[in-house]
Amino acid sequence: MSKGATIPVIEFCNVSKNYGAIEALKNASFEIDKGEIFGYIGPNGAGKTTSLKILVGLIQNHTGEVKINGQLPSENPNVNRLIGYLPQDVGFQEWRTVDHALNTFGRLSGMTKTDLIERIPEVLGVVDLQDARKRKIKHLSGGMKQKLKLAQALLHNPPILILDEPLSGLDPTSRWQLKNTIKKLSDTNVTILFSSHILDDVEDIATTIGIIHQGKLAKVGKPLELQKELMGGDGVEVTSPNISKKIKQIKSLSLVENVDLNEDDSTQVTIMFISDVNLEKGLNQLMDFFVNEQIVVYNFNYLKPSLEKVYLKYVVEGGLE
Amino acid sequence: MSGNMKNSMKSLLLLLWDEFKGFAKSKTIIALWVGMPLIIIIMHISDPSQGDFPITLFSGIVIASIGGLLAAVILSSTMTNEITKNVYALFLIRPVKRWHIVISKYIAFMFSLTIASLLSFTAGIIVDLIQSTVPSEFFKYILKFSFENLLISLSAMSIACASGLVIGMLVKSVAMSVILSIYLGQQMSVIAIMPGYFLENIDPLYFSLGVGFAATVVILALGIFIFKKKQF
Repeated sequence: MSKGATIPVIEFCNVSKNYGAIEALKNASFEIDKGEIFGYIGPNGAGKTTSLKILVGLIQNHTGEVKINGQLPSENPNVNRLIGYLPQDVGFQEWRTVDHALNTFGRLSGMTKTDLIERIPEVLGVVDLQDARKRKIKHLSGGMKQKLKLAQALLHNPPILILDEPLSGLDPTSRWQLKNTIKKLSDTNVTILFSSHILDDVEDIATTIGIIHQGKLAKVGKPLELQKELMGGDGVEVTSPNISKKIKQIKSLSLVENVDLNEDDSTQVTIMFISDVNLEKGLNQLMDFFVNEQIVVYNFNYLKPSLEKVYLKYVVEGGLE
Repeated sequence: MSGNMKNSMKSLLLLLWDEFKGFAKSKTIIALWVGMPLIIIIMHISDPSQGDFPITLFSGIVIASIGGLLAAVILSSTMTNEITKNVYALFLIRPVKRWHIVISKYIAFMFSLTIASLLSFTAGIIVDLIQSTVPSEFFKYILKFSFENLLISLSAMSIACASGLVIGMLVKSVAMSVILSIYLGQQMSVIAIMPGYFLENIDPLYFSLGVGFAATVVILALGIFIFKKKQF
């Protein structure tokens, strides 16, 4: 690594893990930089939870290397203190109250009693669970338990958060609140890795996306990069009353790769620019053409395939050719 | 003591205290603490055939006969239940050693059982003293004999506790865990009691304490080994 280059906060290098004859992870690799929100998506049983458990040290007999802040957790177990983890399927000792559980987890994470007096109300405020502080865990609803799981992960102010399906079991308001919380934490340079199979949630908050399928990391990239890659470049969708008559002329523009007329609507076309062209230049050329030809444009949309399309391309169709 | 060692001791003590609080709040243990002395007194009073049979001695017999069984059943079902619910993951993602969890659970439960046994034993002594039906010289002998019996019972319970922990780790259903601990846990605890009474030239108390300690250490070591290999 060159001098001055920043070390990724999480390095997951060529990690494989077998459960008997089942290969849960096959040479999976990714890196996450400081402050990133990494959305880890894949179908059930793809290897998401296994990857996260390896990262937090719950699974140790794997091949490959995992580094947290450039350090191997096996050599320095204290790096685990840098991580807050929200597991997917986990229970609490239900005789505890919310306050008691957080006190125990906080103390085990190295916090003092004095720290916890201030921090517990704060973190319960973040997850909107202040009123349940004195309640026994066995009396909490499923959604409240999910919030408590998040609270214990945030408790010791970890710079890294690993969240396994954090939004599952939450009502729409709580989902919205939690997504905002994740974004806010990322703004304070907290690095977040979260798994989900709800693509809209990932699309809303992830700055980088990793798609895992059958234990293999099918693709890692920024959402826009993945979407562009799927389309083969930038494109726009234009709605205009006489556009069907201008298709040939649009095609002849130097920066335009292809023009397709919408089969269901003859006033709508999809215009794709040459893959390595600068989007701004392409748009300028197109706008000049519309102005010169005095074409009335009703609607003009930047084309962006949904994450669902990208996901299906890699998971169902086996990726790009 | 190095910083790491200090932190490790702190987390062990915290887990131990927490586990004890958990047991102290559980209905089963409260029932043991309150119920066992009460049952002993009621059973003794309600059975006229026992006549002047000292209640101190009677409490020793009851503790010996049901203590091991209760220890194995309660601990194995608790362990199975907590493993099935994946309770330990939230502890293990923190700098907590796996053997701390096993040891703290064992010690906290043994401590709870010891309290229950002592309460029953003390209740017996108090009732005997109040009734004053036992001659004082004979009472001293009964006290010594019952106390030795209590120690022997605790040795057996210690083996049963450790066996219950291991059974609880290996079995995935609480019902199966209870059934196995009823059959295996109590059978295991007998090794601390029986030979001492049947073998000549052996003091039953020292034999039980020695065997109880050794067997507990071996079974707990096995339990720690299994727990370390477990995937959470």
